[in-house]
Amino acid sequence: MPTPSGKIEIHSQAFKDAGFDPYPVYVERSVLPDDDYPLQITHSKLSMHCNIVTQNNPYLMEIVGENWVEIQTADALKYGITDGATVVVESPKDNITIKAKVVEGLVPGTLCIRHGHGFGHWAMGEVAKGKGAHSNVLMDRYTSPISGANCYNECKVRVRLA
Amino acid sequence: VQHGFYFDHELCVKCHACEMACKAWNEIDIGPRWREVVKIESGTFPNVSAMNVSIACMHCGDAPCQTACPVGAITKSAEDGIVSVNADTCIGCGFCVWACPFNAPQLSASVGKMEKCTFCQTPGKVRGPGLPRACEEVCPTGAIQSGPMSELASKGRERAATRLASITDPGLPGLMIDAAERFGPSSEPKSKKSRNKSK
Repeated sequence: MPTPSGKIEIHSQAFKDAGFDPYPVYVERSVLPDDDYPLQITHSKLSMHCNIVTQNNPYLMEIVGENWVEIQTADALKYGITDGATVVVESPKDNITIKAKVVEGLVPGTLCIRHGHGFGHWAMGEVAKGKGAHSNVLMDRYTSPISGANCYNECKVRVRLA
Repeated sequence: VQHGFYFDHELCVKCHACEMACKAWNEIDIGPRWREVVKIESGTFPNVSAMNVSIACMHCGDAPCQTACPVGAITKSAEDGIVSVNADTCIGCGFCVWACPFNAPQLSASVGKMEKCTFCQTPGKVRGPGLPRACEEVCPTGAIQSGPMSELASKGRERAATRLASITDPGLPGLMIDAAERFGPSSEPKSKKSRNKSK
């Protein structure tokens, strides 16, 4: 292993030297749901599509040709949303109109958007153009202080019927 | 000999590769889906479970589609039990879809006739009996198996037995012998050799 200890490191000396906690510790989000925007957004991908490169394949679009937002049954009841309804998801930054799917397997208080794959784009490729919605517009720019990666889930939202 | 499919839902990861392989091998248009992976969710939060099932024509022993067809376009092969639709005589009425418990027959968008899984015996795209079906060949987890039903039954039992053997809950039935040895009063796990000797 190319680490100082030669082993898989739970305690990272490199992190410590750089001034970070050497252990993986819990850090509270910088964006938390509040009264105006009571829901937290999460993202997931689809198994048959691949990142952003397959959205114009007509055969794959036949299996899933539109993305959706998943909402937990209890939240769906609370906001009057039924399975298959068109909803508006709003964040402090922007909003998207997307189809809702009512599911059980999601933590109440969160929304899960099938993210990416080119859904909701308005540029290249006729097959995928204009289908579904892109949740990037909802997010502000947050990056991880250590890795610099995008913080896709640092986003509070509210939802209503379109 | 009746041929068919064996499907293991515990292995399916819902990648839809079987659907794609089916479409590619049999050259199916957009629209009809001879095979489809369906996700079934059950339970209430936080005890939720999901199961994936890849469904195509089951090539039924007593095929309801065949009985329902008013023009006799659906036949069952006496040789391998494969149920097929004759596109020349099919009138595209859709009775077979209503009769089928699996919604297997699909209406072709371009010619308005019924089509469905041919067990990879599509004219011009025939797979030999020794080869796996297109869906079976591509499946990354081996969830789909095809062949004579008698062989598939043994295969299924073998998998079930392997699974049972790996369960370490002593309360489960069917594992009495093994469980007694693993969890019995003697704390020392006996080796296979000494077990055989004591018998």
